[in-house]
Amino acid sequence: MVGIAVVLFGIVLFRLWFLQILSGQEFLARANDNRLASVKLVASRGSIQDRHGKVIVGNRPGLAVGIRLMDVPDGTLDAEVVRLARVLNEKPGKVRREIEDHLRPGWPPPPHSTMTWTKIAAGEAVSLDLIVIKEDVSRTVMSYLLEHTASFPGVEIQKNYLRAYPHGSLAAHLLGNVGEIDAEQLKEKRFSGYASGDVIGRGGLEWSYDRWLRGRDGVAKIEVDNFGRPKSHDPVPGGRLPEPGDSLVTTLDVGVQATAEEALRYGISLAHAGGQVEANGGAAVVLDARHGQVLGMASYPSFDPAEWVGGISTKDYNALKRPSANTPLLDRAIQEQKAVGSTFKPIDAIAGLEEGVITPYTSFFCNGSYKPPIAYDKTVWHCWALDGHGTLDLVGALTQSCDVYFYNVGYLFWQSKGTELEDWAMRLGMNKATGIDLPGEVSGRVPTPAWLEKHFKSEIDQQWTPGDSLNLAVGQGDLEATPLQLAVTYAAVANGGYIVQPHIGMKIVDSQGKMVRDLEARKPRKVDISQSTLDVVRSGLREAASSSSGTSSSVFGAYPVAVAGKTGTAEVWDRYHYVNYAWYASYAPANDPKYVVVVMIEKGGHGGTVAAPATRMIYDKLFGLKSDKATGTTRSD
Amino acid sequence: MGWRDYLRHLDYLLIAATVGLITYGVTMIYFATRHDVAGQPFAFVRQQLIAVVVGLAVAVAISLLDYEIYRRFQWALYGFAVFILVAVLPLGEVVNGARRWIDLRFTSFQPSALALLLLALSIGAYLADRMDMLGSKRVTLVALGLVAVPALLVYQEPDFGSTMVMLALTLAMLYFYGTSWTHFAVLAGSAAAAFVVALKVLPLAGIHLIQSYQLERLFVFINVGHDPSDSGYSIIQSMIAVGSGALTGRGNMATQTTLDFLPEHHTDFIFAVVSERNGFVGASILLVLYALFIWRALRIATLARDMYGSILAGGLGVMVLFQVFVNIGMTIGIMPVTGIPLPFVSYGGTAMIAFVMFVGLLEAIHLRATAMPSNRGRLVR
Repeated sequence: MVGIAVVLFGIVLFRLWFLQILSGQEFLARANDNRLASVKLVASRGSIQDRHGKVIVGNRPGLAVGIRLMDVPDGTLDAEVVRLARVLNEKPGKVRREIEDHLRPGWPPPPHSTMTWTKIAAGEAVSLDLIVIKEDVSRTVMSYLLEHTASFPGVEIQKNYLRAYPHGSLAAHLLGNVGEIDAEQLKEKRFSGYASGDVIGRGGLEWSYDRWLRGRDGVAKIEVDNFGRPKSHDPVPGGRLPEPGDSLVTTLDVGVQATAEEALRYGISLAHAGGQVEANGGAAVVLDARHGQVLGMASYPSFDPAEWVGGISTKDYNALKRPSANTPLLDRAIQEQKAVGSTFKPIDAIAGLEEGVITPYTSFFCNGSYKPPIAYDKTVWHCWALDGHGTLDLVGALTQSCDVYFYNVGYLFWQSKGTELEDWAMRLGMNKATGIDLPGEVSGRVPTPAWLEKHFKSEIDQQWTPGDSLNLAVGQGDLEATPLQLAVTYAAVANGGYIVQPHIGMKIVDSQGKMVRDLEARKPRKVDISQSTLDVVRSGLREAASSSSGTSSSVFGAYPVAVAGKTGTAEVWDRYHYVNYAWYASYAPANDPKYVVVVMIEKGGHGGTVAAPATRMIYDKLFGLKSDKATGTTRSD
Repeated sequence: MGWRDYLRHLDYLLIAATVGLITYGVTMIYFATRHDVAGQPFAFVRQQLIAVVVGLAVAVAISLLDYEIYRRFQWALYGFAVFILVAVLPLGEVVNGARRWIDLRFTSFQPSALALLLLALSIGAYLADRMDMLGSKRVTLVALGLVAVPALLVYQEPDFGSTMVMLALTLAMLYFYGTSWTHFAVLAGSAAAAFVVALKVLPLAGIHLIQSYQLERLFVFINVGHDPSDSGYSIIQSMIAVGSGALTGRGNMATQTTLDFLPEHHTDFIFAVVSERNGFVGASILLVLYALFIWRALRIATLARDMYGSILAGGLGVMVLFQVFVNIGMTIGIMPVTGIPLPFVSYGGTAMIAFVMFVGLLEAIHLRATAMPSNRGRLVR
C-alpha cells in the first residue's frame, strides 16, 4: 500500500514539475492572455496641408454611438434596436445591418451567411466589442442617450476623431475620404498588417499616403474577468500609446486651388452666356512647369467631402449618383480622357520638324477645306475658318490654328507609312498615365495601326487610313487624353523636353513639424527635341496668345505676363450628337516658363471664348494680378 | 485511561499534518473567495472555520470513545447512511443540476460526505466480524453489495465522484481485511468485462446504459482541446493556473483565481488555487502534508490492536490517498473531472466535519493501540 502511495505521489510531483517548472512561462503567458483584453487606442490621423502649411484636411473630435451586445439583456435587443434607431434618426434595418456586419465573418457573403438577425436577437452571438452604430452624432443625441441609459442597456458613447475640412469642398477630388477597411481590402497585399476595424484612406491622397497619415494605433491592456467584464477602467502596464500620424504637406496652394475651381465655374458661366447652355463640367490643372508640382487641380462639378465623415448616408450618396448631378465624384482632370482638338497641334509641329517631314518654312495654302490627294478618297476636310487662312508657315499655322495646314502634315505622316506622329505623341506623355500620386488615373489613348487592329473587328475598320492620320493631326478621332496629360505635354514644351511626373505630395512631416520624408518626384524623362524645333513651336504658341491673329490674343494679347497657349475645340461624341469640348493649354511666362495651366470645359464650345478666359483667371492668381474678367472673342477655334 | 495517558498517546504527527492541511486550506479558501461576496472577504472562511470547530469537538469525543462501540451499532450506522442518502433525493436542493445538499436553514448538509464515514464504520465492522471467513467469496460479495446500495444512491444525485470514493473505500477495506488477490483479479476482470458489455455489446442490442457524451466528458482530459467550452474549459483553465504558478507562485498576481477564470476555485479546483498562488514549492508543501497524513494513517493501520481498527485506519487512509490523487490529478489534467473534493482543503462544511471526525477515529485507534503495549507491533501485512 505504501508503495502504491509513493507511486501516486510520484506521478503527481512529476506532472507538477512538468507543468510548473518546464512549462511555467508558457502557462503564465496564457494566463495573461486570459486576463488582458486589448482595447484599441486609435491614433489621430495626420493632416493634409497645402505648400504653405494651411490645413486642407484636419481632425475634429466626434461622438460615436455604439452598442455592446453582452450588456443587452437576453431577448430585448430587437426592441432596443428600434428605440435606438428612432433616437439616431436611422432605419432600424440599418442599425441591424451594422450589428450583423460586425458579427458576421467576411465569408460566406450575406445571403449565404448563417448569422441571421434572428440568431443575433436571440442572443446566440455575443460580442464584447463596442459595435459602432453611428458616427458623428450631435450633442443632443448624446445627452438624450445619457439621460435615458436605463432604456438603452449596452449603448455607449465613444469619443473619436473625425476628418474635418476647413476649406469645405476645396480640392475634394484630390483628398479622398477615410473609412473602415472592408473584408475584400483586408485580403489585398497593400493592406497586409491591417486589422479588421482599422480606418484607412479611401481614394485620393488619403489612399496614396495612408501609411504615413494613419499613424500607429495604440493598445491599452485592460484586466477583465472570466466574462470579459473590465475589473477597472485603468489600463495595466503592457499597453502602447498611439502614435499620431504624420502630416502630408502637398504642393497645392489653397489660393490657386480655390481660383482654379472658381475659374471652372467662370468658364462654364461664359459658355452659358455664349449659348453653350449644356456646359456642365470641366477640369483645370496648374502645374509647376519644371518639376511637375501640382499647384492646383480642379474638377467640376464637385462635392462636399464632409458628407463621408462618419459614413455617407444613402440619401447623400444617391444624390451624388443621380444623372442630373453629372458625376461629381469623377475627377475630370485625371479620370476622364477626351479628344483634345487643336491643343494637339504643337505635337504635330514637334514631330514634323524632328522627323524632317516639314521645316519651319514649309508653307501650305488654306482655302477653308482639304481633300487628301488620293483618287479614291472623296472626303473633304474643313478648316474651322471656312473662308480659309491663305498661305501659312508653321508659326502662322500654330498662331491661327489652321486645320488645313495640319491636315497636310498629317497626310505627310500617313505617306511615310510609319508611326512617327503616334510615337511622338506617346513620347510627349500621351497614351500612358502620368504617374501622379493619386489612384484611379486613366492612361488616355493614342491610336496606332496596332491599336486599330486590336480594337476593331472588321477589316475595314482595322485599316489605318489617311483619315486616321488627319484626325490625329487635329487631336480628334480616337485620340484621347486627360487634362493632366496635356499639361505634362505642354510642360515639356515649356521646359525643353522634360516629361515631368506630376505630384501633389511634397513632404511628410511629423507631429512636431519635422520633415520625415521628402516626397521628391521621379526625375523627369528627357525627350530630345532640338532647340530650333522648340523655338519654332514656342513662338507659335506665344503668337497664338499675343499676335493680333492669334486664337487667344483677345484674352492674352494685352496681358502683363507673356502667356503662350493653344486653344482647342474638340468634337466629342455625347450619346447622340457631337458636342464641343473647350480646351486651353498654356504656360507662362513665355520666355521663362514657370507654370503650365490647362483648362477644359465640357460642352463649353470654343476654347478661346471659354477656356482661355478661365485660364486667365488662374494666371491672375498665380502672378498676383488683378484684371477685368475678359469675355473672350468670337474669333476662335 | 486518564487524561495524562490520553495526551501521551495521541499521534501528534497526525495532528500536525491535519492542522497543517486545515490551516493551509482555510488560508487558500480566503485567497480564493475574498472577492466573491462583496464586502465580506471572510464569508467562506467563517463557514469553514465553524465546520472545523464543530468537527474538532466531535473528533475529541470520538477519540475518547472506544471504537468497539461502532461495531455493535454497525447496522444502525449503515441504516442511517442509507437513510440520509435516500432523504436527499426528495429533500435536497438542486445546485448545478445535482441534488447533493439538504438545506438545514443555518447551513447545508451534504449526506454523501458523512455517509463515507458511516460506511467505513459499518462495512469495516461487517468485515472485522468475519475474520474466520477470510477468503470466502461470500464476504467479498456481501461487502460489495453493502456498498452498492449507497453507491447507487449517490450515483442518482448524480455524484459520480462519491460513488467512486465509496467503491475505493470498500476495496481498500477488503484489502486490509485480507481478501485474496484472486478476488481483486476477478473483480477487475468483471469490471472490465461489464465496461465492454455496457459500451460495445448492449448498444448493439439497442440498450444505451452509458451515453457517449458521458464518456466524452469523463475522458475529456485526454484531449482537452476537444471540448474547450465545457469540461475541457475547466481543465484548460486549471492547467493554466497550475502551470503559471511556476516555481514560487504568482502571489497576489494569481489572476486565474481572482478573475474567475478558474471554475469552482474554492471547492473542486482549490489545488489549482494553491499551485497558482504558491507555485511548485507551495504545491509540494501540501503534498508533503498529505504524505505525512497518509503515512500516519497507514502506520496506525499496522499498529491497531484489532482487525476493526486496522481495517478502519487502512481503509480511510487509502480513501484519502484516492481522493487526493483523483482531485489533484483532475486539476493537472491527468484524471477525469469527477467532482471529488480535496480532503481538509476544499470548501465544504459536512466534508470538513467528517474528515476531522475521521482524524478523531484514527486517534482513537492509535490511543488504544499504543496505550496497551501488548498490542504493539502487531502487523497487518
